Parts: sequence; C-alpha cells; structure tokens
Amino acid sequence: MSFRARLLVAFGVAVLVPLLIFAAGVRREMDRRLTAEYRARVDAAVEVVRAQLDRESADIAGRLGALATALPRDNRFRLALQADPSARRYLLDVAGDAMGLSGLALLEIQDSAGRVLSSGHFRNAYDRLEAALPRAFVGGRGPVLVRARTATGALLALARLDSLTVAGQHLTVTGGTAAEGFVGRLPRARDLDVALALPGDSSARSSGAAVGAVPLPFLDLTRSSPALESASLVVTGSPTALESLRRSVTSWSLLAAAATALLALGLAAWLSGRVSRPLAALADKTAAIDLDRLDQDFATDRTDEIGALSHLLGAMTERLRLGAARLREAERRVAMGDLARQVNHDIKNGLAPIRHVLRHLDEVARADPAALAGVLAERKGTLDSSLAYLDTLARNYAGLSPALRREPCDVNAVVEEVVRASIGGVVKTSLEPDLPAAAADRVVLRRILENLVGNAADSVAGGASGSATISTESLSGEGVRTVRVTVADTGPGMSRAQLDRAFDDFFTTKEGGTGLGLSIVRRLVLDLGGTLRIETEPGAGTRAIVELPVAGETPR
Amino acid sequence: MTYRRGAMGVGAMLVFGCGHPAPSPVAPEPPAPPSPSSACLLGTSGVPAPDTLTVVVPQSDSAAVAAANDFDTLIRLDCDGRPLPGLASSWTRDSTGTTWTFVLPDSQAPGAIDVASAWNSSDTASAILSLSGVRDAVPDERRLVIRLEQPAESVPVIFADHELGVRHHTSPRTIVVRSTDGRDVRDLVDRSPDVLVTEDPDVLDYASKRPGTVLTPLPWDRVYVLLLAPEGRPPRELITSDSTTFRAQLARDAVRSEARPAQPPYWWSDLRGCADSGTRVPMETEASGQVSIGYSAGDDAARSLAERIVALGDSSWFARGLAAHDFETALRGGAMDAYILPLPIRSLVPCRDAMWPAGAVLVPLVETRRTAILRQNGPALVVGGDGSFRPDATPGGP
Repeated sequence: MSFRARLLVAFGVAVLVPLLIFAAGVRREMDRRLTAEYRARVDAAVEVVRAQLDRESADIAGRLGALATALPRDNRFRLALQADPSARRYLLDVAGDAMGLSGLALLEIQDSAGRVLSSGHFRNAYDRLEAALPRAFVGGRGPVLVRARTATGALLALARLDSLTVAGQHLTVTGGTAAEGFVGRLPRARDLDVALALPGDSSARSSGAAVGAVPLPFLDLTRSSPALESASLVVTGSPTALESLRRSVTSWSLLAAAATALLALGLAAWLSGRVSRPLAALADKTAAIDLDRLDQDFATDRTDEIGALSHLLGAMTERLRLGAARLREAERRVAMGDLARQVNHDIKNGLAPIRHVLRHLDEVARADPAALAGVLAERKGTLDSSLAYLDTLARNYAGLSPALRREPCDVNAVVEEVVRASIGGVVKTSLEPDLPAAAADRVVLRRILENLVGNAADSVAGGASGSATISTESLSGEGVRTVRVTVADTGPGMSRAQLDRAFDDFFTTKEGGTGLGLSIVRRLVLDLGGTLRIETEPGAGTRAIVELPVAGETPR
Repeated sequence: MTYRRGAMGVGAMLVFGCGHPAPSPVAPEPPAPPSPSSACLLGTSGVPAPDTLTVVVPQSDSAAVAAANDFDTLIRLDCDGRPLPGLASSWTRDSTGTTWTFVLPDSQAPGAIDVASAWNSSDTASAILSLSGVRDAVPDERRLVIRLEQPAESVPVIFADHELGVRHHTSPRTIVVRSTDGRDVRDLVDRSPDVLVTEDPDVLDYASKRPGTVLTPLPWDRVYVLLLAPEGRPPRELITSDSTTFRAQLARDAVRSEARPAQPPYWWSDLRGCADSGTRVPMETEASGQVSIGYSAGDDAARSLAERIVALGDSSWFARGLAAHDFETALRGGAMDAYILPLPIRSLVPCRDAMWPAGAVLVPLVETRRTAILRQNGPALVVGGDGSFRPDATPGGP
C-alpha cells in the first residue's frame, strides 16, 4: 500500500468514525427529543379532551338540572303522570319540547321501572322498557356514551342522568348532546385527531395510531340486551408526521456525514498528494542518480521536512559529485599510469624489433659489410612493420584526447555518413525526421558512432541472422530536450561482469581489440555533455544509448 | 310485478255533435238533494261570501284543493260523499241503469258539448272513463247522454272527479288557494284568512284561544295504511296481533293530529274490476338486515305512524322520510319494506287510486281529519268531498 493510500485510509478512518458516531448520537438525541415532545403534545391533547368532556358533562348536567327543577312545577305534566287522558299527548310531547328548548339531542323521561314516559329523540318510543339506561349511571358520576334508537337510526350521545320525584313518582331524566358534534367541536392539534372508539369498532383508528385515550362508559341501546361496555375518546396521531421528521433528521444527518466524509477524503487526498508528490519527485530524482548523472537538482524553497530531505539529498548528491570527480581523477591517474606503462610497453615492443634489426645490421656491417645491403633489404620489412605499428600506436594514443568544438550538429547526417562508411552495409537505420540539432563536435560524434557501430558490426559478424541498427530520436523531459542515438545489435551481448568492466581502459572481449574503444567513447560523450549507457543481456544483444543535449539548450 | 289498473282496452267511445239520436231516458233519477249535508256547511249562514275568498291549506293539499276549485264537474260531492248538482242541474237514468242523461241548463256555464269535448281531448279523462266502464257520451245542446257498460243504481261518482271537469272561466268569485308553505301556521292565523285548514294541534290550540276565530272540524277524509311490500320484510306479526287495540293506541298516542282507528269498509277491499297492467321497475332495497318503513316527508301523521311502528320493532327497523316524488317512485319500485300511505277515505276512481304493487298488503291504521279555522261571522261555505271550498248557494242561503 502506498504512502498516499495509507494516508487516505488513516485520514478517512480518523474522520469518518468520529463523524458517524457523532451523526448517530445526534440522530438518537433528536429522536429522543422529538418523541418526548410528541408525547407531551399527546398528553396535552388528552388533557384537553378530558377537560372538554368534563365541561360538556357539566353543561348537560346543568340543563338536566334545570329541567328536573321545571318539570315538577308543570301542572299538565303532573296531571299526565296521574293518568289524566287529556294530558296524555302533552306527556308524550314534553320531552321533545324540552329537548328543543334545551338544545339537547337526546332526552328521555322514564319511570322508576325504566319505562319510557316521554322521549324527545324518539317521540313514539313511549312505553318501551329501557331499564338499562338509568342503570348505566348507577355508581358513576360522569357521562355515559349512549347509542340510542331513533326512528331513523341510531343516535350516539354523550349523556347524563338526573332524577326527580313528581306526584309521588320517582322519575329519571336522561339527556345528552350528539357525540359526533362534541367530537367535532374538540380542538385539535396539527397532527393529532380525536375520534370515538366504540367496542368492536376499528374505524376510529383508521386515520392513525391511537396515542392517547380518555375512557368512557358505553351503553348500546340498539342491542337486544344492552350492557355497559367500555368506549373511549381516542387521540390518534398519524405516525407519518413523526416518522417523516425522524426520516428527515436521519437523512440530513447522513447527508451531513456523507458531505463531511467526502470533504474529509478530498482534503485527505489533497494533503496526501501535497505530501507524497514531492516525495515521489525526490524519489524519481534519487532514482536517476548514478555516477554518470549527478546533475540532479534538489534545490527547494520548502522549509519543512521535505525541504530538509531535499537539502540532504542535494548535499549528498554534491558529495557524490565531488567523490565522482575525485574518483574520475583517480581513475584518470590510474589510467594515465596504465597508459604510460602501456605506452612504455608498446613502444618497447615496437622498438624491440628495430633494435634487433639495427643490432643485426651492426653485426653485419662489422662482419660482412658487403652483405649489409642485402640484409637491410631482407630486414626492411621488419623495420617497416615496427614503424607502422608505432605509427598506429601513436595515432591511437592521439585519439585519447581530441580537441572539442561544441556546435549545432546534424546527428542524422553524421549517422548516415557513418553507416555509409561501415563495412558490408549490415547496419540499418531508423532516423527521426526533423531531428533537432545536437550540441556536439561533428568529428567527435563521428568517432563515437564509428566506435559503437564498429562494435555492433563486430558483434554480429559471422552470425547469419544478426543485425545492427542505429536509430535517432528526440526526447523531452524536465524542461530539457535531448537527442538520443541508439546503436543496437543482436549479437551475443555481455554478462553482468563484462558490463561492469565495459568502460575500463584496455578491457576488450574481442580478439585483437585494444580495449580502449568504449572507454574513449564514454569520455568523448561526457566531454560533449551527454550520457552513455549500455543495456545488454547475454544472448539477446546490446544497446548502446547516447543522449546529447539539443543545441541551444542549457546543458545539465 | 304489475300495477293494478282499469280495463284500458275498453275504450270509451265519446260521440258528440248535433243531430245524433240521443237515447231517451226510461226512468228518471229521483231528484238530486238540493243541499249539502249540514256537516259540510261552514261559516255563518246568511253571510255572503266576498268576491275573493282566501283558503290556506297545508302544502301537501294545495295542488288538489286548487284543482278542485278550478274545475267544474257534472256533479259534485259534498263532504259526506253525497252527490250535488254541478254543471248538471239534474240527471236521470233509464230502466236498465246503463244510460244516464245529465241536463246542463245554464247557458253561462260550459255546456254538454264543452264537457264532451274536454273529455275527448284529455288522455287522462279518457283513461278514467275507460277504467270506470263508460262506453260513450253523446252531447246535445243541453244534455249529455252517457252509456255505461254496467248498470248503476245511483249516479256514478266519477263524474265528480276534477279530471273530468271543465275549467271555469267566468266564476263570479275568485277562490285563492294558498299553501302554508313551511311557515309557522300561527302567523297565518294571525292574518285571519277566510279559511285555514290544518291538523297541527299546536296551531289549533293557539287558534282556539284567539278571539274572533271559530274552529270547525272537517269530515274524516283520509285513512293511513301500512302498506307491506310484496317482497319486503314487513313487520306482519306486529300488525296482526291485536289490530283493534293497536289502531286505537295509534290514534290516541302516536298521531299528534286528530285521529281515530280506521273503520271499514275500505274502498280498496274489492278491486276485482281492476286489471293488473304496467311493469314494475325493480329498485335496490335498503341495506340488508334492516327493515325500512317509508313515508312522505312533510306528512306528520305518516311520520308519527312510521316512527311508532319502528319503536315497536327492534333496532333493525327504521323509518325514512322521502320527498313526494321519491316516495311514489320507491312505492312503485319496491325499494323499501313497508310504507305509511295516506289514502282518501273515498275513491272516485278506485282503479286509478290503487297505485300500489300487486301483492302488497294494506293494513288500515288510523283515519284523520283536519280542522278549518274560520273568522267568526265569516261567509257561509260548503266543503266539497274533493276538498274544495265554495260559497253556500243552497236555497235560503246567501
């Protein structure tokens, strides 16, 4: 896992986990508070219903009380109770008239046995026995929800009972208001409703869940055997509103968490990128460092740890550069020593035959002067050969230190010259058109390429399918353009050990080679401000890659 | 299901025109009673009626009363059902009782040809004549000779039906019929109309205590029946238990207006002469499990009776008031189980008035009557059997 990925994960975990915990906590707290507030509103609604019920009950009781006071003073009513036929109809109508005056919806006067003497809501229900009605109020002080019969159907009323004694008869007066009207007049909260819930009736809860209730005794007189049951005024609340609020809180919490997480991840990505990108750049620069390329610039304005690291790497590179210079100087001195020994050896080797010939001629001149000419002629070849050897030797050594002229150079043209002059025409070319001119000495570049091409041609000589290719291309990188010349062959390649010594002077794998070719080439390339590297693999061939700065570009 | 109707296939051949030989009467009808029953006389004898007579009746009766006052018929019936001269001053019959000759002497009033022409131009009149077995009617200048399919001992009362009348145009007096129109009738009493007809006991109680007002009960004119639909779930066991006591209790307690138990005979007891015809359009019945008893909204007596019957039943019974048109539609379509139906105590055309579905059972309940509220020393009036009010024109009258 990369440093950047680790940074992202760590940042994400460090931000997301607390954030999710916070969101869950907020959601839970909001839910708790919403539920508590809702519960408080429900309790308030129940209290309102209870208070309204008490008020309605008191109102009904007041009207019944007034009626119970007025009836004994009504002479016609009193006469009717004493079976006066002329007052019979008055008795039947008195409840209806009183009901109309009192604004009640239900009014019934019954005798002590429960027989209906007069009914306001069902005038012609006289003489019916409804003993269950007064019994329903026995022991209770509150209202009773009564479902009473009328001619046109059932009437649901909130009823109270009062009693009176007239002409020695104990009577009950039951009166009430329409329950639907009472329920309809009840004040309602925004998302709370109130409905009557009767035994076996689930319609009251259809509009929502029952969240509170005020119990109410219930008597259904439409049944054949009425009995006191339990009904209630149910406060119903649609769970939709609360659930919607909860969902909204959850959604917003999740949204906030997601937005924060995204922001955190973005910030983490930016920060990790900001941290890792310079490190990656440092790593790239560090990876490009070797003894031939110690020109990496680690200069930076940063004052943080990365800046410190850059300074350290720059200092290290500088030390390496100095060390490399010293190493090269040491190498040069060693090479010069080696060269001096080699020159000494070579000159001695070249002079030894001459010395032998001259000693032979001296011996002949002293012993047989006449034969001197013949011996000279006989030994002249040896002299010439030695002189040629020395001449060659001198030219080779002279090539170790050419004079440089760095000027715009058409690399493709030099390549073509070298290829034309190569033996056998085995070298193929792949040249980039419009190749920019390189800053190089044309003669030096030709020597470099002649050496490399010669090595390539030698490596494939004798092979039936071997080939050598020279290609050019331009490169751009880090603001510097270079011209690359690649000389590749499909020859036997080199081992790692051979490659490590490839640039050493006098190291050669060719029979009759001087071992100076690649060493000279490397020095020439470095003198031109370029680079040389060898890519090789035993059995797969070798690629010599020369990169030269483009003319006009600042050399590294 | 069919409706009971008259023999519509027997068309009345009405022939009129001068020169047609009119059959000569064989035996003259005894002279018609010269004056209505005293029970039908209202007001103060000898006090002449004003040119315009205002009669206020309940809204449900206004159309019928107005029609009765707007049309002249060959004969009229007094409130007890006895025939009185109308357009015809007298009538005779032949010996077979199938040919009746009506004499229309008044040259100012519509003549025999006018009457025959009115009958001929009215589909309703033709249907009634057909239902009543009138074969033809032959008018001449002063007589209208009518032949019947079946002999009649007394003058056929169908000729008092206003559907067989002629609208009079030159009445010396104008009778304005007004409806109570949903107002408090006591306000109308305060205005002292010539005649105010009501059955509301509260109004009557108020009027009785108001000086200068006279209350005169009118004849028993309608009978309320419980009509059990043929396919309904009627409370038969309730009706058949003790009908006499039941009716008496209903009349005493259930109906707030003046009522008495229904008393036979009933005109619908024998409808053998009427045929079933027509097609019933079945209607959806009320919710299952419930017994519905319908009545015409606005008819307090009908409502009271329906409610009492419901009160005697269980909670599956209920009463339902319907607008007049809806009530008639429900009755014909059988939408309810039972109905409280007000019927005239006498029917001039039984086959027409028996409009209930065949197979229905009629249980008579109570008879009711209304009361006329008159001004003290008001004009003398005659109450007709059709609910009309006319100035008393009997000899010796005003």
